[in-house]
Amino acid sequence: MRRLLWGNNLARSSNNPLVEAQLQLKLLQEELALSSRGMAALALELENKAVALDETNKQLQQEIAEHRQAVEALKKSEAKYESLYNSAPVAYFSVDTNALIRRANKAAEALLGYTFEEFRKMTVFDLYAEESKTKARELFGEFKRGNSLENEEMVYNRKDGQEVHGLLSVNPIKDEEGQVLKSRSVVVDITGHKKAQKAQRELEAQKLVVDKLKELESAKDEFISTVTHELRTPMTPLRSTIEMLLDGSLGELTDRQEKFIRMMGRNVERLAQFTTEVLTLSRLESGRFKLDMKRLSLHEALASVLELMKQKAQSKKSTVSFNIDAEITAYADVNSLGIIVTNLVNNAIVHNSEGTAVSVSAHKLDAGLVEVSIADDGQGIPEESLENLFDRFYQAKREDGPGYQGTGVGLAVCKALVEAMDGKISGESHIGEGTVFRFTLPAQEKKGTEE
Amino acid sequence: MSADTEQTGKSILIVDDEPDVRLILNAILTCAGYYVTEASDGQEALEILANRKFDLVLLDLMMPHLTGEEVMEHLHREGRLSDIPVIMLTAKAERKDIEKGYEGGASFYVVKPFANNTIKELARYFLDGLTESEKENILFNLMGTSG
Repeated sequence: MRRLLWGNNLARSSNNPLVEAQLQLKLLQEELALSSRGMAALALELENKAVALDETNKQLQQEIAEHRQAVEALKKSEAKYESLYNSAPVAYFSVDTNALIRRANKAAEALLGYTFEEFRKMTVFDLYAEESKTKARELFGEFKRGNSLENEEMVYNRKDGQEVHGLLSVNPIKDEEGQVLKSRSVVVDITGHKKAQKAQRELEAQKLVVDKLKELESAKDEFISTVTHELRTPMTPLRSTIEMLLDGSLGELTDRQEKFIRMMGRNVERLAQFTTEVLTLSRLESGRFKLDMKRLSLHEALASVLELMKQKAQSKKSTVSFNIDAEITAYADVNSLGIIVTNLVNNAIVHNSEGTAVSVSAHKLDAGLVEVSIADDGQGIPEESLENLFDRFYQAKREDGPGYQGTGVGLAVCKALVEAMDGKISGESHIGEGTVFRFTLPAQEKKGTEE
Repeated sequence: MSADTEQTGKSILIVDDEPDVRLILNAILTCAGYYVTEASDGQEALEILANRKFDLVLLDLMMPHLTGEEVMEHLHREGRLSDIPVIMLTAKAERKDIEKGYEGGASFYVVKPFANNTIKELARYFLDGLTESEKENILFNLMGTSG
């Protein structure tokens, strides 16, 4: 702009040299004045500019400082994020499109038991348990197509072989063009929850089984009850008829007839005893057998039972002796006590040869117990048989014993009854010397065990 | 009724749905010299009891139409249990059944299968006008055998 001004002035002064010179001078003076004014203006302008620059500089400085701060903050936040990432209670993974594990936080390491170094050498499929592998492949396909996944239930295999149940959520991270780069995957551990669920289910299943068993037990009891009743009903006329035949009510019998009818009678008795024992055992097992527990004198409770057994022993020329002090008491059910002693004494008579001496005695033990013993001087029971004697339907093998066949239930009934009354039963035998069966009973009612 | 048995003149009603059991009871008691009438269920028993007087009733518990228990209830309502002793016969051998039988007014409770002698002795106990000590003796022997 100034150059243009010069040029114009020179172009206008071309005729009189003096005038021209004066003019020139004047012009120059003007010019100078102008210039100096311009200079001043320029200076001002420059000054202004400098101030502005300074201002800008300051602003820049500030901006730089702010930037620095921002960078610092960013760094801090990144560190924070990193630590958050690492110490988060949920497992984070990052998986690339080749299924390689690119990142894994501490929780992920803890969850599956691998270190990050180990993770880096694995594909994501190596993490899943067999049952989740197919699903894992499907889900990986979804991720590669850019789809998110949420709360997919997966089963993982820990390094130590244990199963881990997790809820998997996956977000695909994409570049500007929308290409999937990697995943941001989160796995929430629900193993505890699953275990609790499983335990709950197992508990419910067990309850069902228990209920079913109870139902079966009750059905069995009902069945046995019906069967025994149905067996007992026809036994009544059989038994009575045999009795009438034998006592001559229905006319005289020949010896041969009588022999066979007595055999029938023995078998009917056996059947009657068996049905009673099976019924008793079934009731005891199902808890339907009711005991009437009382403190009683053993002598009194057993007197009539043993009187009958003495009569029975006579037919085999055996003897039953009874030696119980009147003062000895037991807390027991009198019927059950009768069944036990009848069974044991009866066994001692029928399983031994003629002329066996059976003795029944009782004495006090320590700890509030009484012991009842039924001893015989018979041929004894082999040790291997003794162990199984109380098992249901077990019968001791004897080579030289009499031909009597028991039901195999009697001793099982005895054991169940003794145990129902809080006692214990055992047998001891020496071949050729005899056998002793002992059972204990509480001497009196235990506190707090009232029925 | 055979000619050689001496008649006591006492009459017994047997109530049981099993013909075989009735046959046996009839034989035992007829042999012992009693007049015996049979009923095959509770309904029939009540009809017979309404028209005739008996000295003893042997009553089965489990019967169709009208059970022994129902017959007892009926007799109890009519106030007839004080006149006629009733012996309950049953295959139900549980304590609670026996207790229920006695609560229902039974004079005695016999579990099947029974010994013939038990029936004979009970008939004697209720019908033969025995002395107290003779009666006690019978009871003592019966208690022993029923274990």
